[in-house]
This record gives sequence, structure tokens and C-alpha cells, in this order.
Amino acid sequence: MIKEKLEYVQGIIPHYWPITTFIHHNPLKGFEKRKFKEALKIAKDIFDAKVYMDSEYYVSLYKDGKIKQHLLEENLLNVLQEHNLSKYFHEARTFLIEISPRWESYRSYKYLNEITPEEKLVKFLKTQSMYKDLDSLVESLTKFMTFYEIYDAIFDTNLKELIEKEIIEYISRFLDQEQTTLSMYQRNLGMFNTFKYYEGVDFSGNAEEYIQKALDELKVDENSTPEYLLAHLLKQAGWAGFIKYREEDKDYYYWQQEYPASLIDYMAVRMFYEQKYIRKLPINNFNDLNKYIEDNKEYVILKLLKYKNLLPPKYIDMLENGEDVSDILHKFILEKIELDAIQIQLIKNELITFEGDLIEFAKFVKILREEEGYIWLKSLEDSYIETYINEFFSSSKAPKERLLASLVMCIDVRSETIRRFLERIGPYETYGIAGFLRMPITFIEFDTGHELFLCPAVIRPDNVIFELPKEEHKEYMAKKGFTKTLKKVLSDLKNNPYTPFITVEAIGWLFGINLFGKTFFPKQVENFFSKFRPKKPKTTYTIDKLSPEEIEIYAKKLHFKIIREVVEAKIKRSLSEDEVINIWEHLLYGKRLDVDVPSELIQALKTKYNITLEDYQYQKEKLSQVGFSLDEQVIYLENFLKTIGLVKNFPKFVLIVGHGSKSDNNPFESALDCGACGGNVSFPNARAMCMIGNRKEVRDKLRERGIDIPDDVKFIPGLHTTTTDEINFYDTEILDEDEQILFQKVVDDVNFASSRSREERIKTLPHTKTEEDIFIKSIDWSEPRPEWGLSKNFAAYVGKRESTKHLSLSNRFFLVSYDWRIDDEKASILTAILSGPLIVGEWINMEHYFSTVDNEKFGAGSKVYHNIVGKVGVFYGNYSDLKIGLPTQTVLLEDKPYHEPIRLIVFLEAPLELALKAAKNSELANPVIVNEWVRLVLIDEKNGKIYKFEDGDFKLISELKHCII
Amino acid sequence: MKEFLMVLLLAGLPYYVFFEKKFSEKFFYVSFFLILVGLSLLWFFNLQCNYVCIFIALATSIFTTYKAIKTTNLYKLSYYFLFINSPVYFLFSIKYSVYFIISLLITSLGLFLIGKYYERNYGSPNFYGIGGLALQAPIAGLFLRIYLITLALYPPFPNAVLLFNSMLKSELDIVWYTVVVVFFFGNFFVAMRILTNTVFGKPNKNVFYIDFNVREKLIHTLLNITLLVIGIYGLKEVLQ
Repeated sequence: MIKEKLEYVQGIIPHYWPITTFIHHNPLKGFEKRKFKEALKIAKDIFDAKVYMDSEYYVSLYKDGKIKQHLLEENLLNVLQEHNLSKYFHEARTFLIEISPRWESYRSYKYLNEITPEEKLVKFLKTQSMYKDLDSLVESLTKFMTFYEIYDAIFDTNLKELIEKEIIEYISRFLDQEQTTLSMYQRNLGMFNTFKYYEGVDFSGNAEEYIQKALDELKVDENSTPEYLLAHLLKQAGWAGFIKYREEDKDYYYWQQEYPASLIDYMAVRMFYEQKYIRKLPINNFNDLNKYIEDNKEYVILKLLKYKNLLPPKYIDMLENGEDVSDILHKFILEKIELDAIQIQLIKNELITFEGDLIEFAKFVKILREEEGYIWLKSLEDSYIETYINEFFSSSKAPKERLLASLVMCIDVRSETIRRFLERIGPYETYGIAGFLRMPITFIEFDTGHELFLCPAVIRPDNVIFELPKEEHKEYMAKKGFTKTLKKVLSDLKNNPYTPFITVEAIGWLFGINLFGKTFFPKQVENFFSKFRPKKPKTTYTIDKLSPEEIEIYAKKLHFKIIREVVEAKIKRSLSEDEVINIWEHLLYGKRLDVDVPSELIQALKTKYNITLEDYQYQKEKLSQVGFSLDEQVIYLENFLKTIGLVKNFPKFVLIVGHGSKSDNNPFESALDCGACGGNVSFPNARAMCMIGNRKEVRDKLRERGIDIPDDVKFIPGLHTTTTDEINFYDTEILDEDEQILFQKVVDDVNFASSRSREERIKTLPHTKTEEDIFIKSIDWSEPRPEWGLSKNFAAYVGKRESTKHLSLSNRFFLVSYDWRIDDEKASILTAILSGPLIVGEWINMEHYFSTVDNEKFGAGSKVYHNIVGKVGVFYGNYSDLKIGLPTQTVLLEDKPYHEPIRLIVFLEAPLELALKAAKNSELANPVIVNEWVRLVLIDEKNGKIYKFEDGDFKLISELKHCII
Repeated sequence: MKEFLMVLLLAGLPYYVFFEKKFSEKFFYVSFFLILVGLSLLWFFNLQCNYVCIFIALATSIFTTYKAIKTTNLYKLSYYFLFINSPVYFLFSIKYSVYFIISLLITSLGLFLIGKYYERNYGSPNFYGIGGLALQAPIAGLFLRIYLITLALYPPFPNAVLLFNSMLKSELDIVWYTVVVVFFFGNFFVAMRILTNTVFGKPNKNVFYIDFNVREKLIHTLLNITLLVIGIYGLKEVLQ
């Protein structure tokens, strides 16, 4: 029952992925089933947040010419027509541009003595406000407040701080991912069971029963339960979002498998602490509290207003002086309404052409205040749409000669400049595809052993790739092991509660060298330390599937290794191969045990080390996912090539470039990595695809399917470091001598393009004058903004590169290569693009939008105050909510928005019927498009028309100058 | 009788409790004036008070610290500081008492004028819910910060310098230690509490913030220059 009620409200809470694999996401994802405008209105109330920029911001864009006058007027007129107010168009326009930015200046106490408010207007405004009657005022003030918050407000207690502190202390310790050296015991029991142990809670039931019991004690009525649970979730929405993510992604999240947590558990913990502090209070349930409120309504309202910072200080003085509460409240409400009325009157004086009376004017102003954010936002988007639709398509023609190389990069906005400059240098063409290359993989790096899911967060991979060394690596592993141990020791000394003081005394000066060196001579220090870093040996990937026999062998090997290590350590002698097999068969199939092993050890192997038949089957299943079958390889390569539209006229080199970021002392580094690879570096996908692409048997099969890759074509993987715009290529040993010479030309040209790209970026990065400064930013530990990342993103172009290559898009477009002429009748390629890259783009865009509009509620605040907690995220100071969005340094520059918060404009180059099919087929993209969380602009080259998707329909906005049929 | 008069004039008795409910603004002028009278008497008649006066003032100081923690009204706080510091007036030698009192009066006046600024722009001298001046009204925030840091007895601001100077040049005993501990922590806690809630607190989105006007900037600059001069004098005294 409780579970159902919790599920009903938990959709409102945004997901939060661990910071090590930062996933850009829409904080209002739970609202995507609603229209954008309607969803924002609801979210504004629930989160008490800003959802649009202030009107000053939009007006400045309007004055700069970014928002076009005729589009603003068009959108304004549409809204006025909806409300039958079109006759006041001119007044409305003046209000938006001149009055609204000065809204607060019409509201001053000094006017109370100078202007007499109209009585009729005062009466009307009172009926329209939350102050119309005391009951509805109490209801609206206590909405989304917990019991202890209401209690704090009325009785000046400090329960909230005590309760939230205890909650955060417990959950941050439970959810810790080995940041601390003193882990909580018994976490494998699950969040609530461990909690009972931790707090000594004498309760035999489960979390759900505990919540029910607590709610009964609190006397929360049945109908209010969902809202009360939501009120609790909203108190620490970041932590709740992280627990929600763990719970929903449990099959793929190691820590959740080891130490399960759920929102039900979390809610039970919250209820426990609430009960702990309120149980002893004279008023400790809603029945008594409501009675108290009923008996002291005016006083309670004043205290609630004070708590919510809605009561002006002079009334606080009156309260402090013990004046009659009824009088105070009456005066306050009257003054509040009178100020509203005067504000309306003053504004009306400036809009003298408005013919209606004051009440009509008040209604008119209310509508404009509610609608203005959306009007401005849409007008800004429409202005961009209008600017760009006439810019796409140029007269450039496909080159006749064979190209030297094709550069395939991620759709990420940061690839645009390099692509542009490289295309302008010479015989090159470039493509954009989501960094996972439509090949979702689980990647296991050879020296870390961690699983990385290299694909968008909405997809789960079926194939696993291991990275294996292909040359001697003992020295590397030894050095790496030493570094790892050293780091671990230092980290343990630092994070243990007893050792930091001694550590600082003994070896603190060592840190000092690093501190001063990195601060004043970052480049030199980096060069010095890089000499000690072990050089990674050459590696290869497990591209092929294992045979059933190999799977058997490896699964057994794993078990045999565990048995040998555990048993030999206990019985202090070596085991023969036969003895290990005998123990294994005994454990799995119950065969007779001929080796003298203590029965408790046998039991431990079964329970603690999981040497069971089920585990054996599980390991075999996991091993069967390693690599790709030949057919899979062919299909993945075909999908990749068809998606980008490279199916003929292959160049000599196909360069597939993944990307990652490089910065120091930056918990948000993964936010700068590839969003389409789950916040990881997308190089492994690029390398695996190149390995597949270079295979003769794959090309032979592909040829049968109609794509003929000439034998001399070489696929070469690369890595684009977005902070420095460097591109490094790998696996070039497959090239012969002549090819090496040719390839050197490609490398030189790419380096030139990188350099030009850096020059362009210098203009936008603060405190950056030379290319050298850009490199220093990537190693400077005091740099809060190593790069702008995806800030300023605003559009995606899904179509042929020819349509955009003549434009300078300033790293603001996601460039998705797509050629509708290659797509099938079912629009399979387009469906895949809408389901993957479009969603990733929308999440990135919305994350930036809300982090800019209200950084306090949806962003992460300033990096300066961040502390890493549990290796899962950051919070402020010693305890606070987990910060869910982007830091101010990513979206603001000197406290002003650097990112331009608008919805992603998706320019889609495809015939209308094909786009309709794809949008219908894609379950993920459909609501996002239909509910206008992105602005879709369809460029139907086939029929020579351009449409804009609005209000559930494609509206024709322009005719194309050329049409291919 | 003479000593009792001095205790009364130099804020050694919490007589504000009888008037402040109705006259919190005017009461600042009253206490300010009475202290000036006391100061003059102290100076011209070279009066010295005994330990009884100091203990009465100490009790007043503790009581006023409690009252100061409970209120968010800047008018009240501006004269509360005069009462919190009262034991020191009797403890210091006359010369340093006079300088300390002048410095304290200027700082309290500054705080009182900030209260005026609050009242004019936000309707009341009560700072509850009107935080974040550092961001929203940076000039007002800056001056308020200086007054509060001075009141919190941070060196090298004059109050702290004059206190340390007196300590260095007096023979200290248990009464000194007790008084210094009480009034030092009293000043510090109250001033820091105001600082966190006004200058650094979270801005209230329901409030339209206005910064100092030219007249206010001028007045507060003059007050700060005076504080600076006293501070320099104090430093000179310490170094001697």
C-alpha cells in the first residue's frame, strides 16, 4: 500500500547518477508526459523554483536583436487571442518590454503614503489571492511541509536541522562507495535492516510496515499520505534521486547489488528520525497539531509566513512585541493587498491606452505575468529557427576525387570546430554519430577491472569487451600496483578520523611541494610527475565470441582459482589439479569428496565464495556475452556506416574518433566526457569499431549486403581530448610504409585543425589568451572551468553534412549525420537516432536549461563550496542535499548566464512521412517531441517544405528554394 | 550615590526593559546621550568605580547578551551592544575607557543607521528574512560587515585594539579575566549572528533589495574614517 503511494509520487523526483559517470539528464524527466509549458507550471510550485529566466534577461536579448520583434509579437498575439485580449496587443507588448523588467520598482512602501488604492480593486485582488480566507491560507502555506517543519515554524524550534542532519549522516555512510576507511558494518542487510541494527530499532517488520506505523502515529490521513511522502522526498531530493537510480538500475550497479537501498527504506529512515524527535513533544501528531492550528489560526499563519520569509520585518517586530495577532495579520494582509493594488494602479498609469477598468487590467496583468516566460522563451527559439532555416544548404558539391580521409566524431557540440576546419583544409569529409556508434558495449579495462557501460543511459549493452595486454606488462603492473598502494595509503591516512593530524605533521610538507608546484608551475610539475607514470602496454580487445568450449574452460578456471587460493591458504599445502576438480565437483554436483578439507571451509566456499552450480551457469552466461559473433560484427558495422551515410566512395582512411576530457581536481570531469557513453570516454567504442571494420571476413559479408569497402581502406581509431582539442590516433601499426606517409599528412592536417579550433575557443574562455593557456587549464588544479563543455548548446542538426558545412556553428550544434535516402521504409535509422542521440541531446540540453534558470534548485551551486561525499556526488560543507545538476562555473560567467537556456531545436532533414514514422516508432522520443520538450523543425528536402512541430501538428513555415524531386 | 549614577549613565543597568517595547528607535538616542553624559562626568571628574559597579554591569552584560540573541531588530541591537560592553567602561582606566566608549558609540551609531536603512527600504529595522546583502546590496553589506567585525572585537579594528591596549597596560586580576571572557564572547556571538543572517544569509526572493543612496554612502564613509583614525591611534598606543 505504502509502496504504491510512494511509486505514485517518486516520478517527480529527478534521477541522479553517481558523479563518476555523470549523466546529463532532464531534472523534470518525470514530467515529460505533460506538455512542456504545463509541466513547468506544476514543477514551479512543487520545487518552489524558477523555471524561466527573469524578464530583464529576455529583454536584453530582444534589445540585442537576438529575439526578433515580429516573432515576439506573433507569440504574444497568440496568447492574447487565447484569452480574448488581442485588442490590448500594444499594451501587452509595452508591458513585456518596458514594465515587466521593472516590476518590483512599482511596489514600494513609500507609495502607501502617497497613493490611495482603489477599494474595488483591493476587494477583487483579495478574492484572487491566497489570502482570501484563513483556511485556504493555512493550506497553501503548509503544502509540502513535513510535521517537523510546521512545528519549527510555529514553536521556533530547530527540529529540521537536527533531523535532516541525522538522516544525511546515516544515508551518506550507508551509500558510501569506499571514500571512508571506516565503513558501516552489515550494509549487505539492506538500508533499513542495517539501520535497525545501527540505531537499535526494536521493530521486526519491514520498511513498509514501519512507515505505515509511523504515519499512523503521526495520524496522517489516508488521502494525504502520497503528498506527505512527497514532502519528505523533496527535503533531500538529490539523495532521494540517487537512491531511486540505484533501485531502478540494480542489475547494473555493483554497489546496489552489494548493499541494497530503496526509496521505501530511505523513507522509513526519515520516518524514524522524525518520530525520534517529535515523540516527546507536547504536540506530536497531526490531529493535535491541526487542533492547535484551528485554535490559534492567526498566530500560526503569522509564524508560517515568518518561517517562509513572507512576513515583512515590521510585522515580526509587532509579533516580538506581543501585539494582538489578529490585528497584525489583518494589517499585514491589508497592506499586502494594497501594495498589489497600488502596483496595478501605477502600471495602469503607464499604459494609459488600456480602455478597461482596473479589475480588467489586473486580470490582464496576471495573464501576462503567467505567460511572459514562455512567450519570451518561444520567441527566442523561433528567432533561432528563422535565422537558421535559411542558412542551411549551400551550393557545395560532392568532390569528384577520392577523399584522403573521413573523420567520424561524436555528435557532441565540441567536435564542430575541428570538423569545420579540417573540411576547409583539404580532401576530407566529416561525420557525426553518437559516441557509442550504435554499438552498446560493456568495457572492462585490463588494469582496472571495472565494468563501464559505454552507451546512453537508456540502453543496456549485451556485449562485453575485455581489454587485454598484448606485450610484456609485468613492470607496468608493478609500477601501477605501487602507485595504487601509495595512493590508497595516503587516502586512508587522510580519511581516517584518527590519523590526519599525525599525517600532516609527518609528511604534510610533501603535499606542500605538490600544492605550490601545481599552483604556480602546473606545466613543469605535470612534466615532472609524468615521468614516473607507468606506460601502459599495447593492448587488444576481445572482439570475437568465445567458443562453448572456451566458455566452459574460463568459467571453470575462475572457480578453480578461487578454490585453490582459499583452500591452500587454510590447509597450508598445495593442491593438485585433480584435487581442485574433486572439490569443485563436490561443491557443484555433490560428488564424493576425496580431499581432506574441513567441512566449514566447504561451506564457506559455497556461501561466502559462491562456488555453486548457479554461479557456474551465471559465469558461463556472462562469458557468452564476451565479444561479437561475425554476424553481429557485420550488423554493427553496417548500422554504423548506414547511420552516418557512408556506404560508398570510401576514402583511404576512416578515422573514428572517440572523446574524453582532461582536468585536475574536478569532480565533474565525467560531465565533460561523452554523454552518449554514459559519461565515459568513448574511445573503446571507436577502437572496437575500427577493429571490426578492418576485418576481411566482415568486409566480405558486408559486401554481400551491398556495402563494398575497398581492401585498401583502413579504419583508424582516435581520441579527441575536448579540453585541449588534441586528437591522438592509435593502432597505426596496421599501416604499411606508404600508408604511414599518407597518414602523416592526415595527422598534420588534423593537428592544424585542432590548433585553429583552440584559437577559436580562446575567445570564449575567460583568462585565456594563448593556446598554451588552454593546455595549462587541463592540468591546473585550481581551474574551476577547464573548458566550457556543452554550455551554450541549443540545437541539433540531423542530416547531411553538406547542408551545414559552410556555416560556422560555434560549438553550439549537435551534428548528427543522417541521409534519409539510405534509410529503409520503416525509418529504422531515423528511429534509432531519435531514440538515442536525440534523447541524449535533450537530457544534456534540459540539464543546462534548468541549471541556468535556477541553479540553486536544479544545479549544483559553486564548485568552491563542494565536498565530495561517498564518491557518489558533491554536497555543501559537512552535510547537505546531494547536488544534482551542473555547477555555476559550467553555466554562468561572472554571475551572468553564459549558457543560453532554450529548448533543443532539432533540425531534421527528412521527408515528412518518414519523420512521422520514426517519431511514432520511437517510444522514448515520442513524448519528448509531442510534448515539445524539444522544438522539432522538419526540413523536407524531398517535397521542398520546412515544417515546425507545434501544438501537435506540423506547421509549414517555409518553402525550400530547391527540391530534389 | 555617585557610583550608582555612573552605573546608570554608563549602561550598567538594563533600564531599557521598561521602554523598549514602545520606543526602541528613540531609546537608542536616550542611551547614546546618557552614555555621553556619563563619559563626560568620567572625564571631567576623573571618577573611578568599585567592583560592585563592575559586577552589576557584568550581570547587565550577560542579561543583554541573552536579549540580543533573541532579537532580530537592529535598533535594539545597536543599544544592546552599549549595554553588553558596559563592564569595560568601569574596568579600564579613564583615558582608555573614553576612547573605547567613543569607538563603541560610533560603531553602534553605524549599526543604528543600518537599521534606519533597513526601515526605509524594507519597512522595519528587523533583519529577519532580509539576508544576502553581500550579493544584493553590496555597499550596505560592506559597511555593515565593518561595524559587525569591529563589534566582534576583531583586530585591527579600534574596539579590539583599545581593549588589548588596556589589557597590556593594566594589572590584570580575576575580575578582568571574568569580564573580558564574558563581554568578548557576548560581542562576538551577537555580532557574528547578525553577520551570518544579514550580510551572508540567503537573499529573500520576495524582497526587492536597494543599496545605499549617496547620502548614506557619505555618512557611513565618514563614520568609517573616524573609526580608522581611532584605530590608528589605538595601534600607536599599543606600539608605545
